[in-house]
Amino acid sequence: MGKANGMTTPLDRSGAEDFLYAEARLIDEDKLEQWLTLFASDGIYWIPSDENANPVDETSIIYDDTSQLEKRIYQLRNKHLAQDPRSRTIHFISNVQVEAGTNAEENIVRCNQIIHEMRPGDHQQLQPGLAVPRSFAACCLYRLRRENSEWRIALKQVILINRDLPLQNISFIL
Amino acid sequence: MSTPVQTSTYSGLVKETATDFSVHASVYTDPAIFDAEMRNIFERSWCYVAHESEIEKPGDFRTSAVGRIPVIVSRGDDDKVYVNINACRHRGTVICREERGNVRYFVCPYHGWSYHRDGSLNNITDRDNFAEGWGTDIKGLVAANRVEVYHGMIFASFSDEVPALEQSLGPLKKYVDFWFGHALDGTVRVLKPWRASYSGNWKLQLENSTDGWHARYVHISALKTLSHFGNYNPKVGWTGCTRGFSGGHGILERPRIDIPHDLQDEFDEYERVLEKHYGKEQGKQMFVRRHITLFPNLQLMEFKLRVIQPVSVNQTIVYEYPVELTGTPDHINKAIRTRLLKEVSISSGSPVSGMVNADDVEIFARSQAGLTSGRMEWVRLARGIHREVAVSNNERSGQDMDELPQRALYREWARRMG
Repeated sequence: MGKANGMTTPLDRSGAEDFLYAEARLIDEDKLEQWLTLFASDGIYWIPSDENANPVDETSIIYDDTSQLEKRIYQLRNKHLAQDPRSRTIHFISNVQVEAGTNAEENIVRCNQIIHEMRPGDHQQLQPGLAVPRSFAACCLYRLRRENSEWRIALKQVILINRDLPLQNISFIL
Repeated sequence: MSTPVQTSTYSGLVKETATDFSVHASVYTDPAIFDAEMRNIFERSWCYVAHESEIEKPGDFRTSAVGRIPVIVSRGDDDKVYVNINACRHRGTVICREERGNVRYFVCPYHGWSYHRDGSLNNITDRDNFAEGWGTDIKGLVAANRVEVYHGMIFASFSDEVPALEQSLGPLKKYVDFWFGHALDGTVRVLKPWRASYSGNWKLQLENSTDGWHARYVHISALKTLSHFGNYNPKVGWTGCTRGFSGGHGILERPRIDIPHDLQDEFDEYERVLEKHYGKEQGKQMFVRRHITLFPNLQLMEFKLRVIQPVSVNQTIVYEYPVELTGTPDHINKAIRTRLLKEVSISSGSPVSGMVNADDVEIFARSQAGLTSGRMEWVRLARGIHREVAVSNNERSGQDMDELPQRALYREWARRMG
């Protein structure tokens, strides 16, 4: 996956789509350890509340480097209460555009995503919000970098439509 | 909703003996009780509405609320802080929609009535079309009855009867001063907040922030994760104490042990800086970690302000503002901020998505679900009641996992609800 067709072939839209679909599928199928390998070692997963703020000095919904992502995934597998029951997700991806990078080894890919999410609920479905599908609309920006002929995520930024409003439980991977 | 309890007063919904303490489930689930809380508690207390660092210049404003009353907190041309109801005196239209901004005048979008930066009336449009002398009673937006600022925190009250702020804090004042003593010049600047909503009653968050007992259960997965990755060795057998105050205020007090290895040097240095600045004893007091509840809607947490905004009986918004300590070396602020913003300790992360706080918020929704079931009538808050120590008429202390701050909260709740 994400294989470049020879060292000099630039990333085109169909190549970008293949990459994004495969990435989303790993999340939706809960193959998160494999998903993490798509990131460059210095890769960043950023869900901003203000995409113009400096995430090192200001609050974000999530601003994870790969070591934090590794922790996040470990916690998801180890009784994270906010994820008991775990969220199910289905990603829809559209409006894919590739921006020419400064060189053939790095590209910006923009896309829109609708992420449907649901936690299945307890047997009586007592808790408000459980067993209720939610949808998150986002404008996404990926910075993809070619490493050893594979595309890797240097940055995945998910700019939610309601990022600056109070949000309820985003403890799943978007 | 719970079965109505046989009592003629709200205060009967809190039961106390020498060895037991219970709160009726309807206190969390009954919309009529929520309405009464907004009137009897929020509108008649000092409510935190904003921090001065959010409105530094004349004309700066931010929107906020006192219970369900929407307010504009603004800085006037005289540099003073004003709190007014965010509704035009004409038809009640909400004037400001932005979270914050700067204005020359506040102008109502409906018929153009305008107000000065302090909320006083600037202009009623088309004056010629009113009877002579009409409208002289309209001096401006409806102002909060009282406004006070303490360590940069802006509090408002819609009652004339509330005692002065310092008097309302009582013996809590000393600890609030300690908390702000974290900054060498005694004040802070707030960063932009995390904003979380949850499906549960507002008091569930208020109780939880000074609950020293739940961490080893609710946060077991976070503790396990942090240990697994070797960031530090979280000790769950913590020491410390709880304090409860008349007025509903409370404290959970503990040593600051959850420092990640790679920030240890900065925090050690910070402790020495405090001791040098305040003297050894006082400096050590400053460095103690305290979660402080200022009843009813503010909690001073680990280097952040937590503001609780009730929406309805089962819906609440929590705003968390990390603080920058003014007058304090940059690299120390940097270390404090790194510990808050990165998932490196049990003090880290957001209530929306963090490894720690997201689990608390989940528990609130889960408690609300159970309480709403109807026949689980009494919530029990009795841990350590038999060993509460009366420090004074207005202050009690207990062990760090005792449900003592929660009892202080509900004693005041019962007193205020009548």
